[in-house]
Amino acid sequence: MSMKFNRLLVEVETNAGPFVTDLRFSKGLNILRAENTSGKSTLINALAYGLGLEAVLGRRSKRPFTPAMYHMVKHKEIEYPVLRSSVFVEIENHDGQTFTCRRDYHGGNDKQLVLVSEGAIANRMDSEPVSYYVRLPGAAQAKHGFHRWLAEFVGWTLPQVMTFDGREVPLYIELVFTLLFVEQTNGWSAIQANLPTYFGIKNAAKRSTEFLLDLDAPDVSKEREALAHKKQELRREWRQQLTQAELAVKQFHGRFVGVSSEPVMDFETSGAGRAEVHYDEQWVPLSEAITLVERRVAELQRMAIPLVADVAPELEVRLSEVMHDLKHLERAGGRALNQYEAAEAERDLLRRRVEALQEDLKEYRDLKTLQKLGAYQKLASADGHCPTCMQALQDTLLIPSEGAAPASIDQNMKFITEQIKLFQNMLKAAEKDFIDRDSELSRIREDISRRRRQVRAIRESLTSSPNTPSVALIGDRMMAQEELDRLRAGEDLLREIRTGFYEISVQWKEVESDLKRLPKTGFSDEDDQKMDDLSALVREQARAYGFSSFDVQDIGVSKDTYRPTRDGFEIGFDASASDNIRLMWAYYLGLLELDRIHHTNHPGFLVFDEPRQQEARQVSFERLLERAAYAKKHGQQVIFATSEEPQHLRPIVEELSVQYIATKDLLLQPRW
Amino acid sequence: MKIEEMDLERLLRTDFQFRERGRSLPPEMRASWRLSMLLLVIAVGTPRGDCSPKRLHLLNWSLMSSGRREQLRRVLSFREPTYGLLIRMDPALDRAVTLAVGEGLVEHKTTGKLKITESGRDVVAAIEADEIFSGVRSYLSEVGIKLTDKHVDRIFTWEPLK
Repeated sequence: MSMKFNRLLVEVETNAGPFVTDLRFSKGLNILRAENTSGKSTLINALAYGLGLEAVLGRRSKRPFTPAMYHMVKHKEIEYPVLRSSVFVEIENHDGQTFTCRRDYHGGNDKQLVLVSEGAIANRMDSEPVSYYVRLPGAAQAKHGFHRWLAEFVGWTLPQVMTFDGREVPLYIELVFTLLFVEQTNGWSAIQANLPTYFGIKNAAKRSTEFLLDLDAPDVSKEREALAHKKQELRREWRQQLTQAELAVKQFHGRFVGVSSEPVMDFETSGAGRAEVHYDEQWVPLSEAITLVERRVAELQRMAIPLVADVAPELEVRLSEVMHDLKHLERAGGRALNQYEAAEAERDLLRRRVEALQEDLKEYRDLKTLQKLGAYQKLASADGHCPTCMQALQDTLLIPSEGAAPASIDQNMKFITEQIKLFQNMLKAAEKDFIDRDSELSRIREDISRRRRQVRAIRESLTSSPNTPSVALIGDRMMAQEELDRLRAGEDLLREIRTGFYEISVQWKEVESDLKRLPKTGFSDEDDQKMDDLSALVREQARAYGFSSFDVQDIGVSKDTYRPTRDGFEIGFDASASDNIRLMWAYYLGLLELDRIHHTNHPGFLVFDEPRQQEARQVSFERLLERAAYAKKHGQQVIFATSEEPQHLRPIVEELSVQYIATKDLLLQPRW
Repeated sequence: MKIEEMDLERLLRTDFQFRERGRSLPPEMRASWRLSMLLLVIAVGTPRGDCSPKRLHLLNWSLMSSGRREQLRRVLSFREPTYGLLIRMDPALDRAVTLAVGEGLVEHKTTGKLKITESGRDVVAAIEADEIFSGVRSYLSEVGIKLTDKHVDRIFTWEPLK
């Protein structure tokens, strides 16, 4: 990844002829030296403007250029009205490709247009330029979006990031450039001071720094998010299976036990998920019930259908037996109904309790917020005493009497939370109990209706002609067979459902192990190394530059915000204004230097317009520039515009190989 | 150790420690909560800003549960008769009013009605800015308009509203 500036040409056409400023940049440190009023900032701004990146220059309403670019050029006391102004920026990338980008400011092409021609500025007439556009919606991704072209030119694949309203957009290139470009007016107030917020990107500063450092962390957190999402899906599927199982057992008034609402990794081996049927007043496993019913069916089949006359006495006995059973069952049914209603009431009561507690907790949360508000804090009672007599006052409306003082808001909330947990557990048990009672009741009711049918069948037999076959037995056979069919169908269905559980649990196991594999802090080993090295670089430079607000050893780069911190707090007010500048320089340069020892996405250049006089006075830039000059050895570039006295700069310029561009070269000169 | 494994004898012979926790209160018994509610009743639930004690107690009563809020809504939309409402006056509210007056958030007019002060308005503004008690605020603005002073009197005497 890299990019460097080769040349900047600013051309202002007047009716007398063109005025130009022509600057050539080299590798290493380039110093542009001019008085503050001479438009040196304009040239720094032109580098950004030419690439459609005026966003990094700060507030949109401010013009990046002086009137010389759109109104009047003053030269030797004569004023020349401006017809057209254009900015040409020549850039070169790692592969040695050179392109010229032209963007007009006044009078020429639309401001949203950037014309890109292959080759240097000098050769721009040789080929047909391609039109790209900037600052239009969608430009970042569209085929003819300039920033898309620029990202490709630099060698960047910008990642997708999340906005505040849940959409995914590309990380806009302007955000990354705020770490490479620092303008004079506002740029030195904080790191990435001019970070545009209108893209609505969540954690824009973090995301852009993360990208520049080429950390693995965003990938890790994306993967973690994706896995969490998968877990939610699997959880949903599991619960669907559970619902299916419960529906399946309802067909034969059974119950399904042994499977929790949370997926497990080892479904098969835990032997979970049994279906049970209420048979003969107890719950038996489905398979057992099937065997019992099969036996009964076989028994009934063996019996020959007798004539009424032959079996009349038996039928009589049978009738009284069944009626006895029926009475028994009806009583059991009555008890089961009572238990069902009690279980339902208990469950409803617990539900209401939990709801009431949750409402109370909500009120307490609001109350906690209230007590932090300034308007409330002003009150005497907020301080714990009466506004008129200053006596100590508790936050309660109860009449003070014997008994404990009221708990604090936090303690009260803790108590309510504990109560909620307690009652939710009880509710869970009550809900389970209710479901059991429900199945029991419906099972008994079915038994009852079956017996009643039997009674009708037997009575029918007994009252029919003695030479007809007894329908009672036929009825019995049919009912038993029906029962068997139903149980068997249930068994088949449940087998399928259990397979479903198994498949989900296999996937669940996979996801859990994938999650375990991810680094706990979200940082890979390489990430950690990069951050440690960056911290070291920042500390080293701070020390070299004379940072004195506190011990340099306390400075580190946060693995959370990627900013310089001290004891976990962002250094801002801790340090003097000049130390803050030293620190920012150390940070930006640290990012540049880090690219020399690690793979990062840093393009290898920095453009700085010096901080305003008040802040900069104390900072002697010699050390900072010395350090920046090392960029040359590594093929990197630092462009620094300053109004520093030439004699202060002379030693640096002479000692280190520095590209020095002096005042007269920075002014618009007539070229005719 | 599981409960079953513990030797009951041993357990009973061990020293027990009792720690006195602060007394937990329902939120409506917190002076700060009630204070906020009464400010909101006057600022949001009373269109003309003069709140009679009866009106205050009525609205305070309704704020205590969602069931009561629903009931009052139905009565005010003429879907239920007033004699279904059993309004209770709450001495705790009176203590809260005394505190509010002491804090200078509310003042008694010569008519006996309560008026909110500038400081009181500041507190209400802060509550609204931080968007807390949103349920109560929307309820009070809804019901406040419908509940005229005449309605208040009729509700207490169980006369029909219309």
